[in-house]
Amino acid sequence: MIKITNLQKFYRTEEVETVALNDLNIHVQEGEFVAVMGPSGCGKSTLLNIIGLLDDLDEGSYVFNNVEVAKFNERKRSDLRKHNIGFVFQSFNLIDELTVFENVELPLIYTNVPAAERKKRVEEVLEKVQIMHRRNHFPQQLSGGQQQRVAVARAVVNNPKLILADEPTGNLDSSNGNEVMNLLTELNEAGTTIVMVTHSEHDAKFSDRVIRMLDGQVIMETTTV
Amino acid sequence: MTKHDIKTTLRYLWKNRLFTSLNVVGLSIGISACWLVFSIVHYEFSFDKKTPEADNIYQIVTQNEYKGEKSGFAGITLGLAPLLEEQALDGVLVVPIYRQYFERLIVTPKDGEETIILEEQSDIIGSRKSYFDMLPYEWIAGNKQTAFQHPKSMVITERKAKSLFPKDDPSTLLGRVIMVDTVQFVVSGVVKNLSFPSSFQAQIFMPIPHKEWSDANWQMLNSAHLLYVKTSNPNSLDHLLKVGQKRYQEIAGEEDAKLGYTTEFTTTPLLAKHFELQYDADGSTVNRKVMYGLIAIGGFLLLLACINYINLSTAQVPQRAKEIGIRKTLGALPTVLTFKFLAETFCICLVSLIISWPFVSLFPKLYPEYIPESMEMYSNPWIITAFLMGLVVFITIFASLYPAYLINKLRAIETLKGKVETRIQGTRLTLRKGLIVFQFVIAQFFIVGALIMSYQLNFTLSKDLGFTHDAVVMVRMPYKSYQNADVDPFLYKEALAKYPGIKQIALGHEPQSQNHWGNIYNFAADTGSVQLSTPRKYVDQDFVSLYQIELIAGRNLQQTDTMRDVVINETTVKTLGLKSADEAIGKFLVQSNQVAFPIVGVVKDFHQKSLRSKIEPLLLVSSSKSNELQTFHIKLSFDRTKWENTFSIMEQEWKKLYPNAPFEYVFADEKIKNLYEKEHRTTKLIDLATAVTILISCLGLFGLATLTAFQRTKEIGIRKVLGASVAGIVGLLSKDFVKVVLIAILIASPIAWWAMNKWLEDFAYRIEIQWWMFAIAGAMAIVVALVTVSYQAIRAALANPVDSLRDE
Repeated sequence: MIKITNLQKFYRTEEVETVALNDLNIHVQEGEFVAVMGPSGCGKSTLLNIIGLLDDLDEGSYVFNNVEVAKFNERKRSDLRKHNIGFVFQSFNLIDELTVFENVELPLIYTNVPAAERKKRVEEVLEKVQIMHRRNHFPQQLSGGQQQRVAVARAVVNNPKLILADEPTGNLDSSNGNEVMNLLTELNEAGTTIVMVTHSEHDAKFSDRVIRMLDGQVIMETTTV
Repeated sequence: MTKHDIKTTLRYLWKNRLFTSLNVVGLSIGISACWLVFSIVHYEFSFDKKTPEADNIYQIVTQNEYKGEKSGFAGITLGLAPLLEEQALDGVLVVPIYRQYFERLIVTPKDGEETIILEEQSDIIGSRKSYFDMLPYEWIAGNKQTAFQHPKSMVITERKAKSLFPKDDPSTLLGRVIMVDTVQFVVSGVVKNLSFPSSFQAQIFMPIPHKEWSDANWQMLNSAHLLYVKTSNPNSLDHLLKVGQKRYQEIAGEEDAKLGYTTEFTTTPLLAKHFELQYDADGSTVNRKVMYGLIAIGGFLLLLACINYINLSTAQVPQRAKEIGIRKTLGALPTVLTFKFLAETFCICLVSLIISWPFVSLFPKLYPEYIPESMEMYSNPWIITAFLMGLVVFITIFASLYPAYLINKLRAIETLKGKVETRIQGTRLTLRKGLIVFQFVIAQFFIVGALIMSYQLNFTLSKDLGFTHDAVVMVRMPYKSYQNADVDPFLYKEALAKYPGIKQIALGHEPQSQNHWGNIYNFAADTGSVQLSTPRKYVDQDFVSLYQIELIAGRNLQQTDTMRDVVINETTVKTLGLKSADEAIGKFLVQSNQVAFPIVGVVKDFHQKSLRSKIEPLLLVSSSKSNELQTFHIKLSFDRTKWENTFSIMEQEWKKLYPNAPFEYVFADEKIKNLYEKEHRTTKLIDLATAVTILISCLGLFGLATLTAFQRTKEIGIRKVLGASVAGIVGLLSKDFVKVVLIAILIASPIAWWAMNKWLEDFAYRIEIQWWMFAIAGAMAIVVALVTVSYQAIRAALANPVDSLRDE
């Protein structure tokens, strides 16, 4: 599903050029649950952003679903992203002005799903993450765990093929964290590909494969049992 | 626009109530200004446009040339109209419009009703039947064929019918009698008022009196006599002008040539008339430049408002960057985000529009002098609505473009990491600061202006005028025939003299007024004959002592029936080239008819006109006629509690002598104040401008303060962690803004100094502009600026550094 070869990414300021990702190769099969680990600054998040088509790469090739997307423009990327990829962030990134329902509904609006269909799908997914009773609350009125469940609901409401999770449990206590991990596992078992950046060995155990990075390069891959 | 968009837009605006209301205030100022300006300009430019075949209507006017200087005049000679009517070809309308003056119109009531009296109506004209052929009046009663058949007939408009016959249906008024002074007129027609703004404003129409129509005078031009011609054939217009000019030359050409004077009849098209200041006969024309000035002001305020909107909404971009980033990540396209922002602006515009409505309705009540009189009558709600809708759309697009561009430029990943600040600041900030400086320059200019104007106006009222006017009231003598104007005014003086509440009574012109009665006198000086052009005031012998005008040589006037002796002021002494006041006594001033008047006294100079003009020569002369003396001056005792009683005594005595004239008194102080009405009006407008510009500047400044506080959140956090106090941080944040305002003060002060000097030049007697006036104005601006930024500064300073530092 994801095939990245010889990826290079630099960050330039006026004086310094920093290499964020250096000659990186990654393959992710459809239906896989991959965890990316490594110390701060090793390029995990940058990699996730590139996979999520939020950032562009400087050199190398990125084939997503058998399509070369490295040279896609903003519009094409946005189009591909909204139909295929869901995001879960460490800081939830819910919109404060929107209710739970509306936050989850948002991706469907941007993919022009009719209103009746939207309602049905949002309710389904809210049921699934068990937050239906809070559908008309605003994000600030929820606990962290609840907020992250909403974020997960939003990420999956469009039935994306791929979910990218950036430290999804980073802001949660362990029981809430486990809940979110169980949700992701369920989704994976239902067929969704998941790429998750994490610092937590505990969370990594939920995945099929762990990719360890250092200084912009993959240093080790391990398969979990 | 989906329900989702509307809902989230409204929710966002509500959540950011403070910014929303600041934006609404700013934009409603701009919208109100544009709304008012559009109403006025649209009204003025629609004048006469709807007159049928307006482009075939011309006014015949005169062009005079004297010593190479040309001047235009609206009036014509009385001989011209009958001649042109006689000479006009078929299909040409000759329409004379002669203003008619009457003391009053009286409608004798049907039984049991009150008599209706209208005094001195200025909207009565004499004309010919052709008047009704030229203008599309709709007849409610009567018709244009028969309306002017009888010389003592009157056609009135529906509006006038309402005031003359309030209880009657206008269509039933044919044959009703109106007493015009002492002559009976009969209503021969009632017409609807013209449905469009027109230069033809008369409300009562009558045939031109025979005496005027048959008066073949070719020497006198009078602005009461206007003439219009309607023709589709330019040749016949030329023909008429030639015929008129030929006759004029035959009769008056020689006299003109002697004086080095030429008079030429020419035309001005009706469609241009409303803006032709030189052909203004009734004060109804307007200056085109004023219109362009208004458009500029409206546009300028709108621009400032839009800039503020842009300023405030871009200041908000960092705060909402996260939301935008999330939406982008979830697949929102740039068009979607732009549209969302447009929707927000549109909502704010609509609210502003609603808020402007009370402003716009209130303005004519607060500033009636700046609104054309009958504008309301012709306002077209559809055109105004269309304009306002257009305006809202324009503002929405104009004010949204830049913020929408910024929003779209944000990169999703950076916003989600909280990296936005760096992208919004930089050069933008200097641009913003420049804008704030610009706004404060304008505000500062107006603050200084308002301050200096009020000092000058106080000065005009407190300056020693050379006479004292405390506790003096003035009463105008009756001048209309039915008001017993011929009664000897000294009878009233005698009647009042016996009351203790009245200290003194004098008769004569007002001591300080813009009215000018004057003559040219010859004076035999050592160096030959001196010509003295001087105004004179008719007074009685108590005038000088009542106003405590100091007599410095000779004696006061003696009461005589006609001008016999004269008292002059010091300036006259100097103008005549005399060395001292005493020297003037016994000398003679000789009028052109060789009558000589001895100078018997000299008074100290006093301000006989407003402080705009220098003290000129002045003669005080005696008279006993009410049409010359004009006014009673009554000095009351200083005990204010007795005044009410005195006024009622004055009224009682008045009614005995003048039963038909109203008793109306004005305090001399009030009269003097009224000399500066124009300045008071200007001050009122400047005060408004000051308030508006200060408000707009503060909105801009507030936006900048918000942005700065946001950008420096982290810096403030670090400073606090390192031990900075709240006061220290507020000071740190405020310092920058004070600097901005100081720069504005530096730029504005010389401009204001120059402009206010120009304004003060209108006054011969004026205050000196002092440095501390600028200091006061500057201090005011700084205080206003500090109050404006303090909210954000204090909020930023009070924030818990733990929150601001946690972000990264």
